[in-house]
Amino acid sequence: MAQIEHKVFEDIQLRLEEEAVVKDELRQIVRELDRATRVQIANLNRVHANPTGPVPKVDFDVLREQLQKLDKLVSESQYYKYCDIWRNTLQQILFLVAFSTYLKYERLPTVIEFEEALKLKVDIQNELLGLHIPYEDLLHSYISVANELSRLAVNSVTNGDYQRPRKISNFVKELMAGFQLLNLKNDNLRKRFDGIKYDLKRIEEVVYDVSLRGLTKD
Amino acid sequence: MSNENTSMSQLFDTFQKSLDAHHDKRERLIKSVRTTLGGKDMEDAIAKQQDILALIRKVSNELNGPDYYRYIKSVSPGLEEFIEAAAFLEFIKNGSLLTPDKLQTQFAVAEIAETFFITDSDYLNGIGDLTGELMRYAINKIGAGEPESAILVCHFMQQIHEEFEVINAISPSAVSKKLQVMKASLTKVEQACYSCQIRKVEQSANSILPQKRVALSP
Repeated sequence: MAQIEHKVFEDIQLRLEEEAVVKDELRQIVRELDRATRVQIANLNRVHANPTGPVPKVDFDVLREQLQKLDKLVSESQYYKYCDIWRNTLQQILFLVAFSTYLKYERLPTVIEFEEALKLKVDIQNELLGLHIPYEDLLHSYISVANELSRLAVNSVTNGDYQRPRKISNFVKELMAGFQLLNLKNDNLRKRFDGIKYDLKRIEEVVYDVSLRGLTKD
Repeated sequence: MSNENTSMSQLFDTFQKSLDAHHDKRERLIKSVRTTLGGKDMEDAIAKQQDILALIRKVSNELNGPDYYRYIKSVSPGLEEFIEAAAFLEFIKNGSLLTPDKLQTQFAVAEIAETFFITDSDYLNGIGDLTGELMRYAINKIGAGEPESAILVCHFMQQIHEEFEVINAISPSAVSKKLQVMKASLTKVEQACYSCQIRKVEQSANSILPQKRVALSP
């Protein structure tokens, strides 16, 4: 009876252990990054308490620093091997860029603005190595902006700003139209996109309430 | 307003192309991998193996650099199925375990891209599934009146099971699911071999007794 080669499994075991070490290291950095991101999101979300006040400042320096650390750990061709570890956090950071840009200029950031804010490249052509921003994650961040804007519409009215909901409504409609250009497959992005219509519904209800009472000047 | 409008649709235009390219590639890979499934008869298995290797070669050309880890998840089910079948063939021909090295040699002979390799998890899953196939094989052998070959298979499975248990102790996520199924298959074969042995002893006892009676009777 042939004995099976024990070494085969020993090697696999060693590799699995090595991989576990790499993953632990990555997780630790991502945990710190995640914490820093949450602090900044909490910062930015103060806009809901005072929608008419100045736009809350987001400190991107901390995030950039942590992203650089992460970048050093991600080896060139293994981005997609480990990307599940940081994907959520990266999407949150992109949301920070997108939402703060909207609050300042009432538009979405361009690809270049994203790149400059985080000192990372956006992978438009499906070709980048190392740590980068997949364009799908940009799309996710846009959807998060729409989610947050439906809250902002409500809170603006509470704070006596009756003009803003209409602007928000127009913006989200445009965003939706943009997404309709894409051939979305049955994935997470699609599910989240389908959710935008509920945000839009909430926003339109606010616009309706405000205009019904003659609070908007045309 | 109109200015904002065009920038938004421009933005989405760029994403559209990349997103389509990504989905096309994923679907193409899934499709070509699906054809590798279900090639498991012993009859011209070797010829079929060559066909499958040719398919893998096609797939391997699309999985360069960062794309490897991005799309390997779409290819894995087919690869695992192939490893299972190839390992089964190897066992029947030579009574030995198909090692990753031997697989890689097969790949080299079939001129599959050098950058393409089998991940440990694909290998482990393939070998895990192999034990299910071995179980059916062993039971059939017993049915065909060849309990000796069934016992050989049983020993082979026991060795694989041992190795998997060691790996499970260190990184449970890699094999825990397969291990449960494997344990069930192994128990079944062990039980069948046991029954065979009992029956054999019983039979020989029965065949001895009458002779003794004949000898004692006068």
